Amino acid sequence: MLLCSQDYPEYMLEQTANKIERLSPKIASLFEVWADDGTEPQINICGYTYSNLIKGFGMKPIAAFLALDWLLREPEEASAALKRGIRKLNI
Amino acid sequence: MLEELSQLEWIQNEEQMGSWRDWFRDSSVTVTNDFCDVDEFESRTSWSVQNFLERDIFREPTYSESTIEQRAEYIKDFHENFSAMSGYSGNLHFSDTMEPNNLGAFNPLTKRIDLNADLLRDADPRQVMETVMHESRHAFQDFAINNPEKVSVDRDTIKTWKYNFDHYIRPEFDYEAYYYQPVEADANEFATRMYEEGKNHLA
Repeated sequence: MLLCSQDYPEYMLEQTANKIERLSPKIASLFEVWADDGTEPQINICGYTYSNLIKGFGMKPIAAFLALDWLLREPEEASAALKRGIRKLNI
Repeated sequence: MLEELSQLEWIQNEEQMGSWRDWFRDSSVTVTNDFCDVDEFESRTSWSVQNFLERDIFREPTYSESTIEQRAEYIKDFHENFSAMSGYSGNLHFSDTMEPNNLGAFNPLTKRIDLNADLLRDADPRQVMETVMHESRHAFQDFAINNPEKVSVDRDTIKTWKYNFDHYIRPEFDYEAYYYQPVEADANEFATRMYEEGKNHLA
């Protein structure tokens, strides 16, 4: 339901739902609070916050939680990927 | 020493940018009729990096000392040196409306490459060159998908690229999945390797 409301394409629904279920405990608890009452998480991982991921990278709220989780799991790889910037297909 | 343009220089350059931006917008995409061999595409691209860096020693002014307009011309020349081997040429555009973290994008419908004009502010050309090569690799992927008989890429790879184009993961939905999906991993690896190979071949 949450994913549909944020315009996730159908082919991403299952894999994204699975990733949300596997969030690390720290991020999962913040996600549950946000899902319940919309409270934005106040957490900084490797210099990245929920807010600057949304504003600086145009991420959907769920994507910001997924990115924070990645930063927690693999700080070097995630930081390097974010620092690299967005080069993409315009689809 | 390489230095970034000051804000004042940037503003002054901004006033001159209309002409070349219009010129880029007016150029039309050319689709090649030639066979695009992936090895030739790679050797031509790394040679273009080498050529760009070698020529910079003798440029007047050098890339780091040049204006934004001149840098745009240098980057356009760099792209033209190898773009035909990607299947498309005349498709490079600079955009002044892209968000800071959006460096470049290839549009499979128009075949157009949009580059963030802010990349030209950096006196070190590496990032803009790698972005041009990254997006040109997407152009090559697109050409391979649409013209499989005209490229030396195996069918399984083209099948993977086509499936990924049809199921593309945008960074705003899942950055990790965006970063590691096949067409992005391939374009990142290509751009980094081409720059390193070109640089390592410097005399």
